[in-house]
Amino acid sequence: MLNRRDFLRIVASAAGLLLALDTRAEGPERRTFAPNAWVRIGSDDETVIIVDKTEMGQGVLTALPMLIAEELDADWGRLRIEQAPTAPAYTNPALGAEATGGSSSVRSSFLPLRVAGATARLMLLEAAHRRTGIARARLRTARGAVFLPDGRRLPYGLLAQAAARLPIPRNARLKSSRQFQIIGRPLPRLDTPAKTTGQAVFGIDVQRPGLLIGVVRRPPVIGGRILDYDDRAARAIPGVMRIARMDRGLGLIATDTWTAWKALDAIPMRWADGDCASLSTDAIREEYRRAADTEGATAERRGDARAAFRRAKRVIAADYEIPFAAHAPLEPMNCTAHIHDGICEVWAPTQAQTGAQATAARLTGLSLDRVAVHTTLVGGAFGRRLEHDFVADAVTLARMVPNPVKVIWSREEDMTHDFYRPYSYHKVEGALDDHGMPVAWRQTIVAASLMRTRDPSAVRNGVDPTAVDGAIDMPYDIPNIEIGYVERDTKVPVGFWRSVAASYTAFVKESFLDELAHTAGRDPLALRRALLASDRAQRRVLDAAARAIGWDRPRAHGQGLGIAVHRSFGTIMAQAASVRVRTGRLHIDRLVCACDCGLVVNPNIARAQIEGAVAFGLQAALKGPITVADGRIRQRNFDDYPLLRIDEMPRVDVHLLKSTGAPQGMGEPAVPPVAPAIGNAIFAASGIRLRTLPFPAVIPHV
Amino acid sequence: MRMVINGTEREVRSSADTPLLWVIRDEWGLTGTKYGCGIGVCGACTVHLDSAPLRSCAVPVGSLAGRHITTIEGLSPDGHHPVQRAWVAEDVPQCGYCQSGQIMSAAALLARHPRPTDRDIDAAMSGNLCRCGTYARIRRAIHRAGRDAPYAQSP
Repeated sequence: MLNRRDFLRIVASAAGLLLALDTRAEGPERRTFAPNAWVRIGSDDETVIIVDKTEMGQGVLTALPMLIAEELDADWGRLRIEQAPTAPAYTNPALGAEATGGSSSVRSSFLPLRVAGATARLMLLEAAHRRTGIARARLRTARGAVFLPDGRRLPYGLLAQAAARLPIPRNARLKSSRQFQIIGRPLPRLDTPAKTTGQAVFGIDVQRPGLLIGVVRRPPVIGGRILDYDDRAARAIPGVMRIARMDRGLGLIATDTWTAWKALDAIPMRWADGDCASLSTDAIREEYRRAADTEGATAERRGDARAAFRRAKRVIAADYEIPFAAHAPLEPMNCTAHIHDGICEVWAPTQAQTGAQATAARLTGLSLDRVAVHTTLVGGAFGRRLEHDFVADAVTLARMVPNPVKVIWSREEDMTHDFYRPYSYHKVEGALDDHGMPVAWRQTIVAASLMRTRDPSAVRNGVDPTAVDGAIDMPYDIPNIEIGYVERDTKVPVGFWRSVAASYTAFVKESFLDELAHTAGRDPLALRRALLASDRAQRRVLDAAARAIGWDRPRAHGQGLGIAVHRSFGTIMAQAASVRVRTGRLHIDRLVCACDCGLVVNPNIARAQIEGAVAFGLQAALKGPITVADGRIRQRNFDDYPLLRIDEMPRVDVHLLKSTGAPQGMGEPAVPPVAPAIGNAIFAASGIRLRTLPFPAVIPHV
Repeated sequence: MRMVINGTEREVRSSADTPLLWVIRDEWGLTGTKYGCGIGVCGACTVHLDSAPLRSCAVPVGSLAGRHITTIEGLSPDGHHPVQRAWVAEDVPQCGYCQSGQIMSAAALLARHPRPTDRDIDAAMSGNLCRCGTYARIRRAIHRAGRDAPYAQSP
């Protein structure tokens, strides 16, 4: 770590959420009680809670402090929230790095942060006992203070100095859920006020003395690189400071954003297109369609599917296709870097602090302890900010000047150089027995591997778990199952996109199960219930969604109901949609969500995550896709890659089912069921089975 | 040239072709107004020109000499504009990046239609994209702001 504790602080106070540089020396003169990496109580009675996950809209700046405050018996209204620096203490056990993803923040923090709070409380209680001589059992804690039997109040700050000298106990008891006073309450988010006044500081808003602006132009063709360029005109533009090749493209530094972009546009560039110059979505589809007929690596085998297909009364087969999708967070990729005094400081809207730090260290040649990553607020991430390309841009350009440099990607740069949700193609077959019950399921998944370039050891026996998640571990009681995986790189950069493989495997699983139900003449809900006989948890959630949509009520003319259930990131999510299809136009009247996500830490935030994930899923089901032609990503901005608009957002009802289990994932699980619930409802309304995403704007007639 | 920004007259040093957004952000240091698309289709850069919503990313500053611009920082002196209060009451933001633009569009809508219908909201707000999907709460917050003073009292 740096000697100075100079990291960005996110301060929640009456004045709102502010970012400020904390350069206070950490020493005995501060008389701070800091029993662990997440709690700090000063003798001035200020309680600081440190959040080690990135706030990207999912509410960790509120939810994680709730866990500590609950066990600490802190005064919720008087907490100061700080963003953690990069340090080993903040390694996310779910990801093996300091990083935010996999819907893991609350899940992985639920115990450690409560222990952190409970331990701090126990030490403050011990300090109060030693100070007053009153038996520990007769002391109690509430709202940031220890209370004596006579009602006198010893604020934690008064005890901080004494508590800091105590040994750290290992036996802090946690509250039972019945004792919770903060966990489970729909508390308002602490970051909301600052996000309504323009005061919230995102990566793109970082200001530093002497700040310069960097812009980049990457190759228009995937895998291309710049050959040469003519920067004479650009150099004559006042405010242009540096123009340089970087990686495979060109970078430019100027005094301000508009000058930088204008200058970059004034540079004629010649590119070597590489071997992707003829790459197209059509060619990829054709290759994948053929690959789906080949023998894949076995991702899962249950029973003897081949024999079951031979014996089956009835067999159906279908091909499903799910496109590339962009993350398209509203804040484009950006990052600020400053190399000075033998250190490198990086201000990054990142989900992956460890990786950002390693990237900066690699590019500067500095050791990790001389690279400080300051995490800013993030204007949407959805997996995109697990990558480090934007960090590399900022550090590369910052090496050319003594000043701090903020790199801002244009929307076009952002849209055409994403790490897209992989395109996938699925060949799926189902077999029914004499009673119309599914007895065999065979599926071949063709998709690029996310782990091949990131951690090839994760690809086992030819199967990348991140490509088949949601297809394997089939919850339906089908005796014979065979899931194959065919890995095909397309050269299109791919990455983790909100809910990852479940965003396509759930569409196939829940749509094709519907196909089996209709083929067998069975009600899709009844068939699911029958096949989930031994999975009461999923059945309970499914039933809740069915009840909420009114599955048993008669349908109105032209109305179709669809239902889907999927478990991802530990959470079971069922969604039911009510739609109408009139003259080929889809109208979504209502979407209900029921979920079992374990104990809900903050229902207000959980609901928001579900509503938001539904919008995210709807966008990918109804809009897009990302396509490739001549090696180029065709979609460049929100005019040709439209997001969901307010007038397209249907009514969404959320039912959080009571659960005593540990908290499960919340950010992603509501994405996967959206497309199949809508697709199944479209079939119910129109008789049209749609097996390709996105659904067409005009639904064809039968 | 000079303009009036949040009630204060200021000099513009940027070249006339600079989009208003970048004058606001880079020259004046008011970063509440966001860049999202640069072509006026996402609404993150929405400010008020007089009292009408304007996509500041797509308007050259040279065309605005002497005009009055309000940004999110100038919407209210204390962050307690009825729309901002309603946004807090409904806990609208997730990532928050689009919300300055959403609030500016909503404030302009309510100034024209003190009690907007859902259809009014659709028409006025469909140019403000939210990738986090906060739309249901945005709608609720606009209705709430409409119910609360001072719009409800206007003639």
